[in-house]
Amino acid sequence: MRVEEYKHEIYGCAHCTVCRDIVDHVRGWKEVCPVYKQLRFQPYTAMGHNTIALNIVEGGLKYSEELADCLYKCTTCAACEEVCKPLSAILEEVGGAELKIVLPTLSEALGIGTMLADPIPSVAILKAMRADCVDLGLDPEPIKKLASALERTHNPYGEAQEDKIKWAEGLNIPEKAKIVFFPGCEPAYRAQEIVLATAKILKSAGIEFAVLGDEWCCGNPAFDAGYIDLGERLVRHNVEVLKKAGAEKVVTTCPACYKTLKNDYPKIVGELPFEVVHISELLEDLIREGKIKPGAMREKITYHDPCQLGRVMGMYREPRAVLNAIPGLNLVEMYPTRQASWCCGAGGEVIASNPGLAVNIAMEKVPLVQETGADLLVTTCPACKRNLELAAKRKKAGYKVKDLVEVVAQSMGL
Amino acid sequence: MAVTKKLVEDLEGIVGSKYVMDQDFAQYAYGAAGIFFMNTMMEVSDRSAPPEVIVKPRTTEEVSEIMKLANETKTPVTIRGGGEGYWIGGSKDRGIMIDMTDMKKFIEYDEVSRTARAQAGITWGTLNEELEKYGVGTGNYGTHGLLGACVAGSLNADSPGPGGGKYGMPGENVTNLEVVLPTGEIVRTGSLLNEESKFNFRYCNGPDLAGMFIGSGGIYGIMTEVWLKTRPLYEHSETVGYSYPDFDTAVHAVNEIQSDGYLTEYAVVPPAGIVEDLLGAMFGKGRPLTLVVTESHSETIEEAQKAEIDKIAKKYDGRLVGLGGLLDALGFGLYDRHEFLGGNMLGLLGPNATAAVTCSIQPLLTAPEVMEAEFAVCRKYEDSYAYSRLLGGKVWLGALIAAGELGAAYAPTVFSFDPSNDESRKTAYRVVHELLEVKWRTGYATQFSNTREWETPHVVRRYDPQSLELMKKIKETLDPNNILNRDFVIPTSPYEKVDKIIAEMESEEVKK
Ligand SMILES: Cc1cc2nc3c(=O)[nH]c(=O)nc-3n(C[C@H](O)[C@H](O)[C@H](O)COP(=O)(O)OP(=O)(O)OC[C@H]3O[C@@H](n4cnc5c(N)ncnc54)[C@H](O)[C@@H]3O)c2cc1C
Ligand code: SF4
Ligand code: SF4
Repeated sequence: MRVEEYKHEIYGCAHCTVCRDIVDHVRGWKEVCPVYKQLRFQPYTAMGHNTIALNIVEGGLKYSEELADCLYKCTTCAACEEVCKPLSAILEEVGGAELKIVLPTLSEALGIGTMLADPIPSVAILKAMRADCVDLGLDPEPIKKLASALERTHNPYGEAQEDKIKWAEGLNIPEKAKIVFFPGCEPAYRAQEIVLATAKILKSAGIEFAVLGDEWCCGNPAFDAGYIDLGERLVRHNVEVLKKAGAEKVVTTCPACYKTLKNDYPKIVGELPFEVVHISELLEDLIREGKIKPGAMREKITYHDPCQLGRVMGMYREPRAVLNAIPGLNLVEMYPTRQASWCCGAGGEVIASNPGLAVNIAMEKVPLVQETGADLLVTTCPACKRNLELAAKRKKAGYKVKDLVEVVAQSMGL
Repeated sequence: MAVTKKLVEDLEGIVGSKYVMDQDFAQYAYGAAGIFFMNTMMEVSDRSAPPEVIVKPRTTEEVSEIMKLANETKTPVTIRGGGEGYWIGGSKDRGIMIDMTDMKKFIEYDEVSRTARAQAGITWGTLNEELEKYGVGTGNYGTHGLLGACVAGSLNADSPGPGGGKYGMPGENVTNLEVVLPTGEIVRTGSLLNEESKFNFRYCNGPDLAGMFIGSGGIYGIMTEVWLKTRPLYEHSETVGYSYPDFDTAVHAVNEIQSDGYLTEYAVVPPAGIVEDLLGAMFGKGRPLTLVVTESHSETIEEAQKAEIDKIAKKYDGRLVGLGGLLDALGFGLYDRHEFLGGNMLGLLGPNATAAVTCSIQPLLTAPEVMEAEFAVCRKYEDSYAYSRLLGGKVWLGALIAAGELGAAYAPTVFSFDPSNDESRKTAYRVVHELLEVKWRTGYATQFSNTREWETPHVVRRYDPQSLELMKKIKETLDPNNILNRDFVIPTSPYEKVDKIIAEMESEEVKK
């Protein structure tokens, strides 16, 4: 069983309950686990997952379809891991969230590994249990369908490969360049406003970039769903085509693609011959270098940190820097925000397996946005955007939801 | 009786189907509480079985209905608060578990009697967050650094949380309780015995009924509402550190500072185990570290308090150390009102380690003597502990923290082991019981009276028979079917494995 790989970590969970629902305004936490907030029982928390894993490893409990159903309700938002980091409150007070981001590197340099910053890897433990469920054929039907689509068409929607770059028709984007834009499946098939805005900004900055006709899914949905071998096949293919295209820098807009390419690819294929960046880093650079000049916008906005970009990749500053560079834009922070940000509900393939749960989680965000008085909610993730938009509509919230690139493109008059 | 499909349906009828779970994975998720070490040290076959059905009530009436149903069907019931206490989860006879964490409403702050009223499953974090709006807080915060514990959980487990040095144990902050008795009746205590009462006060209207429920491990009833004393939030607080020539002198100094009323919380760290060399290098060989926390509403008083503390410390040859200020600057003051630990603190003991903790309440002044006996046990098994890469050694240590305002100290002794290694966990089980036996032999008191397999076997053999009989009689009267938290505090069967360890210890001592 794959979960056995995490035996030491599972035993290490202190069962301290912090990852369930602490309220701690000093550190900005209103609640922790979005799924617990909805479903109210221990098995839907990281502490519960770890207790379940302990009993699986020790042989008392067996995997079942019911258990699989429970495991596929986690959004993998990593809020649980954030609060689980040892001494995290103190570290945040001393050096802000940034200190926690640089701490692994710092403690490695001190020769004590990354342990000063390591939480119980609850999300990895959960994913290992999902993978066990897949091995046993117990994963829920929507997940099986998603995997089958990925297997057949190399995207989660079962769409034709040739349609993936339909959005680029007439834009004269080459298939080979040192900079490759990797839109990812959701933007390319379902949120073309995001890819179009990105392409327009890059062009206007004078960047020569390529998009690949044979770009497959980055692999993230497969890894989330527990289809590890399938995910690895997708990864290897993408690395090959990126190499062939001569990529030196790969630009992503989707945080899940960003995280998978940057963190997971090297674990599977070794060191990558290209750099992976998120669009918000690139935009910040372009603005600093004067290559793009956002125009004024008179709007009150707030920003939603996508879990994979914020908590998982530690990127909080860059998207805010971009927004703050737009003259006249009034960025008001939500509470909670940054590392304590409330998940949009779509992650961890919950949007596929439990769409109702996903939107219920997203609807919890509506009052948080409304408290800021913002007319526009900005994020930088296609899945977050879709789910937050749906929640706002359901609750007749009265604010709009846009991706960061759309806002930048709009400010540039593109 | 085993839980039947009909019983599950009846429970759903009371609370709604969304608030009942009986799948096997849910049962197992509720089958452990506190640090896993409790479970992981034990053979799988010795552990208490997970509950068969878990139910989440939201009102007192629902709790009452559940208890009536459980009585009719003679089904055992276990109550769970935050689930972070050092107990093992579930009852040996399985049955129903009531998860109290949805009974979490803050009801009101009464400015007249300066009390807070809330449902008993509210966490210390949420309660204090609400109270802060009124400029007040609870005197004691229930448990150190982990605000996820429920108020009723801490009250029932006798947890000595932060603030105890000035405000006493959480139980001493209770004015009134609302309790559902094992048979389902709802009672209130103290001033609220008078149904007309708008005043919250504990010691009136006859015997102190609240006292019977506090620290009872939930055997006499289920707390559904609590009324707690509050106090204005302080504006100034500082942690001051001193090192003293030896452990004994240190506790005398702290005792005097406390009895003069200058401290809210303290910690005494003796130079033993993993911290021995570190403290030696910092303050000189054999010198313990003490930290005391002051608080006040005015800077003048704060300064005056610190000056008095300094006078007392000097009298005991104490040397001021900068650590207290550093901790405050780091936001790690001992009396901090937020989560300072972060879940995976135990990860710092590893890799591949977790901590085993034995806790007791002891008089501060004689604690060094008891702790020396405990340290001898710790040293005996030192080779078997897990190695900490961060701390550069095998981890064990002891400390004293304020438990109450009357010279009582909370004395955790901690050692680390590798829970994924069979040998390590077997030894750990033995070390825990040797430590507990050494503690209780010296006449000290159990903190977690509900921890069954852990403290209970040591405590129960020392209860005076009449008092134990009284506890049993109350239990029989209130819970004629013995369904509520069965086996907690008052065991119904012997703990053979623990008894064997104790017998072996005794025969070793005779040989010596
Ligand atoms: C990492 C870690 C560190 C800890 N550090 C400390 C510490 O420093 N100091 C300390 O005191 N404790 C400490 N503890 C133990 C734990 O935090 C405390 O015992 C805590 O107060 C338990 O609260 P809970 O809500 O989790 O209760 P639970 O563990 O759920 O329950 C405790 C007991 O109360 C009973 N109970 C719960 N709710 C009710 C109710 N409504 N009515 C009647 N009975 C009820 C339960 O049946 C059980 O017997 C620590 C635990 C962990 C995991
Ligand atoms: S990853 Fe998010 S949803 Fe999943 S258990 Fe952790 S906090 Fe809950
Ligand atoms: S996963 Fe971390 S935060 Fe959650 S209970 Fe375990 S140790 Fe605590």
